[in-house]
Amino acid sequence: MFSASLFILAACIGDLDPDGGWAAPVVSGDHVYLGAKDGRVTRLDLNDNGRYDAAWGFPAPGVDTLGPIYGTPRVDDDRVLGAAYDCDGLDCSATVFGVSTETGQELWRFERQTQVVGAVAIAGDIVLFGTAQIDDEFDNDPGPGLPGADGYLYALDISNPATPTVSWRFATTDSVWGTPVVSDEVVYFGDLDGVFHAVSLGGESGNAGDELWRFHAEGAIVAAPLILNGKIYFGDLSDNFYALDIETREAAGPGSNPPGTGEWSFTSDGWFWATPLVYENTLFVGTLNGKFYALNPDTGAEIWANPGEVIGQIVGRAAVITERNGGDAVAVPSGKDNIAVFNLTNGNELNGFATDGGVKASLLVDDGFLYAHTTDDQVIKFNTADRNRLSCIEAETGAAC
Amino acid sequence: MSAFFSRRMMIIIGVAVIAIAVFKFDLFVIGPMVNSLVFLDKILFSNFGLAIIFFTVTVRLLMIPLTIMQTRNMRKMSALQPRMKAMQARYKDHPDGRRIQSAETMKMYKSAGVSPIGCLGPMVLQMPIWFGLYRAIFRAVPATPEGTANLSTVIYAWNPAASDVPLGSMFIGMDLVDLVQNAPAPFNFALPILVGASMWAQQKISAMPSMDERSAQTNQMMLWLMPIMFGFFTFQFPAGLAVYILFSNLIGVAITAVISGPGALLGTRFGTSAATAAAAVEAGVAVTEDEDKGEIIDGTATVLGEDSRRSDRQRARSARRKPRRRRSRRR
Repeated sequence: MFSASLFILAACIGDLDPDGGWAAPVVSGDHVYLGAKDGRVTRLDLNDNGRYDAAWGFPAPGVDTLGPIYGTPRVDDDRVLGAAYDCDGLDCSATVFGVSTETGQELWRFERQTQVVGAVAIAGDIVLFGTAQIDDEFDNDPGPGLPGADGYLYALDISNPATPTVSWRFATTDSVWGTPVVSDEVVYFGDLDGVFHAVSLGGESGNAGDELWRFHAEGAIVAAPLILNGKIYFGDLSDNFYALDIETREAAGPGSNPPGTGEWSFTSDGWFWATPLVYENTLFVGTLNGKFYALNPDTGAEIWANPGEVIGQIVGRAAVITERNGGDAVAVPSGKDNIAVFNLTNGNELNGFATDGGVKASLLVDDGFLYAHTTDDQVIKFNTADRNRLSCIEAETGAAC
Repeated sequence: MSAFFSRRMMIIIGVAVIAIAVFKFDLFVIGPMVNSLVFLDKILFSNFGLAIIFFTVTVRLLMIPLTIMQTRNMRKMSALQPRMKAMQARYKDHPDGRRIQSAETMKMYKSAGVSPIGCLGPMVLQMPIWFGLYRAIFRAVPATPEGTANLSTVIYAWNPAASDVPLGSMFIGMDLVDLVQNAPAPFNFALPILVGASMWAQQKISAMPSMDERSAQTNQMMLWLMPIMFGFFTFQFPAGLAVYILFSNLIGVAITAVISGPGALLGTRFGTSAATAAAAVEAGVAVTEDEDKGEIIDGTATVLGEDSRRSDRQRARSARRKPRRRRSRRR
């Protein structure tokens, strides 16, 4: 019996395989770009009523894909930048890539034996991304980090696309799953050890790769921070949400963890994974247990919160939509079916958007339309005013749902 | 009556456990296990390997009553085997043999206080625990973003170790979430061998001898086949699962050895008439030559022609008489 049960267990082992489907649609010019679960980047043509652009895609049809994409692709000038990874057990292989928006052809790629979960950030010709531990240490990866660190922030110089080179890398004490965010020559990111880092990109802020300051949160940090009006907003996996003051932190320098001016923290009863949204002096953020909060961004005081059982895990960022009457509302993606919509001022639940699966990707609102990438790898386009579903396609193939 | 209640209770508990397993597995099984593992990790020097071992051993120790129940039932069934075989031989050519055999078997079980569910029940009860422990290990140390997000649904906010997740998964140089084949030497080949060897020992010590030659051959084949197969499968298991199986087997061997004596590993527990008789006496089964008009020689029975139904009636009568005697003594 024991043996039989173990046979069943053996058949159930699939927990090591990444799934993806968390990448949000992103609009640039006349196209909406998608990072599909299988590692393919595809796009919709807004000039053709949002039809799937079959002539454009990376990798090209018939070529092996790169593994699930979690981070939202970033469109910068005439290139799409992204990252994907796949694993055999914990033997993971990650690829960071640049693709031409014109042709869909690969411009460059950078591979390491690791996980890259978050999206990439860009600062000029430097592409920044977080990694887990690198399985095979490469001698040509320079930087201040000790070999064999548990995680890194990589700064990749792509000024010569033919040979992307590691400009520097910053070692951390645990994996970096969150998306780094760049502001004023500084890159901000958190790691799974619960440390939030501010690292210089060079210039007036200091030497590139030098840590300017760090903050020890109570739990692991996977959320991409939001930087607004000199403050950094992010949550952790220990039910806490923080607002840090950049100026005070920079003045205090590295190695310290002082309370900055006007800083606050808010304690919920769920983990924070989603990036917050600030709209009309209200901060909106959701938790993994389905609570969605409206907070005062200056004090952290709760303005309203929905009952947690209304929606599932909130992983993606909410979006503000315009109602038929011209008023605004906030749409919240969640791991359960349907996208919830709340009144901005009092949190009353309004009619939502009907999806066939959960939505863990952030929502894209553009020109009166809402685009949602579901965990079933479908991209659904809605009219925000009347919530009508206008189209639905499979992200990998472009086939109608 | 007490046997009836225990059987009924077993069925009720079994059904309840299965219902829980199916409908509220996360709430009642995975949640407590994951939180225990996370807490143990914190107090055991942030070492998830030690947490797995400690938790596995504790769970197996808590299941000792079930193991004892199962072992006793197996002993009783083993002691009944000579009579069963004799009865089967007696009705082999009877036109209504199957029905009579079935009825006689149930009578024998009833008179000996043996419950077929008593053997199966503990195993069924343990299934959700095994499965839950396996799931809990991988829920506690997720390797993917989905796993980490889902961990939030089972971690209790009041768990003092809640802020420590996600936990580190390194243990004596190997990653417990990674496949055994990717583990550094010597773990990559030592773990499969140890898992196979411990499984062999576990099967050997808890095996019930069969009177039927074909069944005995099958048992003997499975005794070797399963451990060898599992040894190979272990290469594809995450190391944490291999550690769990290894220590589960080792503690299982130890518990069975304490309950039944270590002789089973040497093949001397159930295989002889003396052992069978001793087991029968211990199990409270009155298997005597006088009652059955048969004799037991080297674990096989020779029937001398008396109707076993009569002996069942005699046994039932004597069982009824015993309490009366006790009461009269008190007076």
